[in-house]
Amino acid sequence: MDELQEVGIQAKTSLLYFDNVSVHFEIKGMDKPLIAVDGVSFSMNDGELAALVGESGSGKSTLGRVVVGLQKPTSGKALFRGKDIYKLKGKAFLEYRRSVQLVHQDPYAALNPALTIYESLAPALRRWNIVDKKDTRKAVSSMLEFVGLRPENYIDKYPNQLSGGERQRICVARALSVRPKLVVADEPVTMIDVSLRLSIVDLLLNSKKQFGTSYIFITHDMALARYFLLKGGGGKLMVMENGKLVEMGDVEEVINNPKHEYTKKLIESVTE
Amino acid sequence: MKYGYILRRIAILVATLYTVITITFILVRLSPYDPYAYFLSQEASMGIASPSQLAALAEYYYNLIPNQPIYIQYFQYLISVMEGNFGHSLIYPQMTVANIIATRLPWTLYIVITSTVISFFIGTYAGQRLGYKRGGKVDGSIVTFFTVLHSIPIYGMGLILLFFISLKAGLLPSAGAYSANVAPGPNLPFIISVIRHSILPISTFIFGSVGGWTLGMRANTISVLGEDYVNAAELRGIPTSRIASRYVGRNAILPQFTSLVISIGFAFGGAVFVEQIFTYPGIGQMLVTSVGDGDYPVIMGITIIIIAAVLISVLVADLTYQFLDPRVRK
Repeated sequence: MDELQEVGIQAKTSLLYFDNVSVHFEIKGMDKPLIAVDGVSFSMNDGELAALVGESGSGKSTLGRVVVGLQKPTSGKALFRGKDIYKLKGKAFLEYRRSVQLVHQDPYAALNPALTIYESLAPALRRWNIVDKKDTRKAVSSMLEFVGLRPENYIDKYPNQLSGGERQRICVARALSVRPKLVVADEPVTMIDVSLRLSIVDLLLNSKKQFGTSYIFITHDMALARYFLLKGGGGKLMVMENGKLVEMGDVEEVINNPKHEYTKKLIESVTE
Repeated sequence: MKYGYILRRIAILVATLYTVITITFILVRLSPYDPYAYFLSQEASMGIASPSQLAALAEYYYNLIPNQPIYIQYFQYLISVMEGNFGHSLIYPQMTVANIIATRLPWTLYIVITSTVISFFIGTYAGQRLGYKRGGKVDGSIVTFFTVLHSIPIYGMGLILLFFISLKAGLLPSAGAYSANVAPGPNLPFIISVIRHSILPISTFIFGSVGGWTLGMRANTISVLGEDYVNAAELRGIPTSRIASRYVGRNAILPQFTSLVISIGFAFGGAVFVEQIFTYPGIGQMLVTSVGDGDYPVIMGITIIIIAAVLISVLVADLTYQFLDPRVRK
């Protein structure tokens, strides 16, 4: 089997397959476009965990937005189950979006302040016929239970009545409620109180165990990325610098034997 | 709902109103050109009045008793205003100021409330559509149009409409609230006449304010569209129409709603111009007429009513806001 064929098979069987994806932003008053993502290639399989590490401005959030379907790449191939994400039309695109959910960084901005928790979570369950109409409330309750919140204390509350940690749990419940195959968690604990961070990370890993959800965990914190992957039973560590993936490999291998200078710097900054 | 908060708001309203009443008293009584002293000297010079008759006249028109210390006069005035007694008109001595306001106010309320509500709905709808089409060609030209519209002062707009629609084209009447040849009452010709006469004043208010509603709603819509919860809803496949109403519309309209109630109050001030231009018999036109006639009791009464309208609408906006925005509710 030649290399080309092998690539073709990988592209078809992978959950996610990115080939040389770039995102450029044209900025008024500048002659050159801003290159946020620069020729990124990687793939993800069902149930796989990945952590995307880099400092702010490295393009990791933009890459995350490409994955969830919010940012069309300037060039390159972004395939989901072998199909080009940005060529999907109508129902197929909606189905894809449902399969790939995003957990935002800021739990204060991620919930509609005008709706109760139930009103926020229920419509998507109905939209995708995940449960019968009469069972909607029960389903929302069980999602809340899953993320460690007592349903009767939360289901009819408004977001402003909840703490940051509670809101982020709601956001996780909301993302998982539509039964996604892949969740992109973009700095999900950066704005959470330090003492609660690991419990939220553990929550994400629980859902991987229970539903087989894949994760792309975006963070600037190498230690947190390592915790996420090792606790989750291993996975892929991807290091991003200035829009480029400078290093990618199994987490233990990369941590113990980093090849790129930037990766070494990130690891050193943790151990110091 | 916090009762302490409501009570505090009402206390502020009462205190402000009290200040306003005091200021109207001071303006009339203590200004260098003292209309009340002028009135007394005029009545005296006509030679009709003995001091006791003069005192009776002063109380009749101004609620003031001459030859009393100023603080007694002040309390006298305060008490009668609180009783709803604003004195009598100098020009129409048989009419109380309260009577004049009661016959004029409904016309102003009709014009102001109708136009504000229509303008609000048009502006909110157009603003949300434009917000969704932000950055496009349609958006750019319509925004320019509304900006220009918004920057025309309301009296300029009134004169333009009066000149072209009424005087040049003769499509609609130019003055009054209804024709002389219909009998006021619940009959069809009267209602049609009232509507025809009110179209121009109402349109003037609408043209003067719809640009503001549109641009405001457009800006709010654009900022809400950038919120994380909107794209999270898109990702979950929430239908577009539901996102437009429950996510974008609901959150973008909140600041608009506060302005809506407040603007009804402030439109009373705008009514002064618009009613004068269309000789519409509301309190605004009455105010202008009274200023021309030097009818001070009426001026004082209408000033208090206009300011009370602003204060009450601000209070209503404040209290209703908590029902709309769960973040203010506790």
